[in-house]
Amino acid sequence: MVIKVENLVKTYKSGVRALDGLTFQVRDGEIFGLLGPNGSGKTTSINCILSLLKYEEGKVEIFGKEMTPTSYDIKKDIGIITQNVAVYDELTVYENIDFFCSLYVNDKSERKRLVEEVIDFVALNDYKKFVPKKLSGGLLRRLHIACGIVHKPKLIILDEPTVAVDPQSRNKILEGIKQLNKEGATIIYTSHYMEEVEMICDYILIMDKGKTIAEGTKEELKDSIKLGETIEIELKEPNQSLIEEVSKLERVIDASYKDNTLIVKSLKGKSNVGDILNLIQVHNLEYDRIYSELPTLNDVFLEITGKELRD
Amino acid sequence: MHLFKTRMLTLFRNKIVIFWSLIFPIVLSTFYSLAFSNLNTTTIFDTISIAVVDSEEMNQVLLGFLEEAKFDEEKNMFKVNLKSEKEAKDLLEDNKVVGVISTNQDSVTLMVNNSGLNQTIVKTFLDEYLQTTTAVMDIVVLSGSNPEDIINELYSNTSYIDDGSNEYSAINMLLIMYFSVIGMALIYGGFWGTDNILNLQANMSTKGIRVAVSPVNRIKIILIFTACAFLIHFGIISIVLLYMRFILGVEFGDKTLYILLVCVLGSLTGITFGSFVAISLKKASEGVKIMTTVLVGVVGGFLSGMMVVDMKYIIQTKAPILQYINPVGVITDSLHSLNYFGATSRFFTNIGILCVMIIAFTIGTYLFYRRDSYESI
Repeated sequence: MVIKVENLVKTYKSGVRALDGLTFQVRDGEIFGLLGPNGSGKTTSINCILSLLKYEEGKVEIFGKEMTPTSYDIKKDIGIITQNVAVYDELTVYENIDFFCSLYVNDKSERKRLVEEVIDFVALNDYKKFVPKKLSGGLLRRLHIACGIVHKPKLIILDEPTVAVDPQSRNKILEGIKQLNKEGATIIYTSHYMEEVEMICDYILIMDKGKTIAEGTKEELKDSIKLGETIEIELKEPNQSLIEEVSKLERVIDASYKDNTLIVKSLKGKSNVGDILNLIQVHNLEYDRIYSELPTLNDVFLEITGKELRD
Repeated sequence: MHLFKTRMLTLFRNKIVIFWSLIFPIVLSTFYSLAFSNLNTTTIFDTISIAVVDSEEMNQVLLGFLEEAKFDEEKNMFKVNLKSEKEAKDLLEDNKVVGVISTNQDSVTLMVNNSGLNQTIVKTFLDEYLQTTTAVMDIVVLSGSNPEDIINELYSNTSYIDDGSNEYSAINMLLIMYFSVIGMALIYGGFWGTDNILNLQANMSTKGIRVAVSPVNRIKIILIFTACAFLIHFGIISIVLLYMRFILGVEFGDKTLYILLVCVLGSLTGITFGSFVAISLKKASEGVKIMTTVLVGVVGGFLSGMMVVDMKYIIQTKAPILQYINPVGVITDSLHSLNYFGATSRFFTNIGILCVMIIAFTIGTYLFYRRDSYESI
């Protein structure tokens, strides 16, 4: 195990209980996703794991040793990438990476090699002498990531690294994370974007109000809920009697309109698409598009908590 | 070593901090030089008109000193008006004299209507007189010597009035302004201390989180950062001093090493003050922290005579405690006393106060900084 968190309890002075008995483990070489809505306790968990925050109860072990603020032997193998960019405006791209590398590596030639490698990795070769202010948002984010991984840590913690990042840069970041994982790093990835977590994580823990509400692989999580399929059909005109008949179909658990779109949720099993289309024809209704979607992590969250991930 | 070099580079390129520490004092002192360059010769050397109450019990020795005291070889320090008590008070009421002195053989009373440089000069003169006479009486009691001989000896040695070394014969208002600018610039070392803390504390910046998660010892890194801040700030202050000395032609006297000592301690006071402000006002925004340092610099400078020279004397007479807790005031007074009195006890008292401030701010900063984990981030 790379990380072992047991029964973590953290209450802020305001009285808000941010972590309420959180327990989980991260295995060597996996990409571990910590998914939850804003305020669910993801960042607090990370800060407690890193001993940046005090907590009342619980235990954190990293690489088999208890993590404390002075566990320098553990810290040398950790890389942190925070939600907000952490670079010096006064230093160039190269100098920034070199500075943060020097917190871990004393040898000058070794440092130079690592800095060059990471600049290659994040494709900032053409911007080495640029100061952060001259970089676009995406490039700045790449610099931020480079500063966190330059020392080739065994454990990389990314706390919502794609917030306010354009889609193109986001994809590059996600690809980079997968690449780092392939090269042997264990990754903890926190996000409230379920698509990202679903795309890159091997194991996912969904949390809310400081507690684990579900965990497993994405397949295990989706299998754990009743929902099997969500069908959406864009109708020219909604029809109330159609809804009543659709609701009576086998395995249908909910049917409703959102504007002119009929939304039907069904249990696992045979798809209801054919039956619903038949009913639409019987009512002589016109329709545009049909979507059939398998359960998402949002559905998992919704079914367990009764609210959307992005509420 | 690399951390040290890069931190030096970072601070060196911090334009805002460089502006406040280097450019602002240079611009301000240049402005003073252009606007007030003849202040020292126009205002200060006027003879001060005082009234002495004429009575049978009048202290003739003091009267003699008052009449003979001189700013320089040609100009008397006081114009003494011997008047009855009522006439003297009327003159004071009409602002025709700055003070009324009533004396007898045992005591001296000074009555003034308001505070100011002239009133302070009279008061300090009388204080000096009383201290001297007390010392003379002690010597007489212990040694049985002739009081007149001792007084003559004392005054021939101290050259209180004539040798140009006393406070009032050489007071230069412009110099006080320059000193307060230096004091302010030294306290603006607080920006460097604030910047250090902001970059090291995980509950204040994401860069601080990076440092906190790294394997570098926290004490080691704050010492490196503080050393960098001190070296650059002291270098900047040296440039300000050189500019004042060689471009503006300010005469600091021949006590360069003592001036450097004040600058070293002043710089450390500024840096540790800024660190303490940043770390203790943990919930305040970066802007509030910086504004606190700016306010202490500007208000402290004002109270030390940076804008109105009389303010320094008003504080000395009305609220002397402010003189001791205002770091700009302590620095200004260090330079001021060094220039006029030399390295006397007043100078070393100020040096001691600066040392106490540095120690207090350092301990305060350490008490907050040593916490490795935070309650909230």
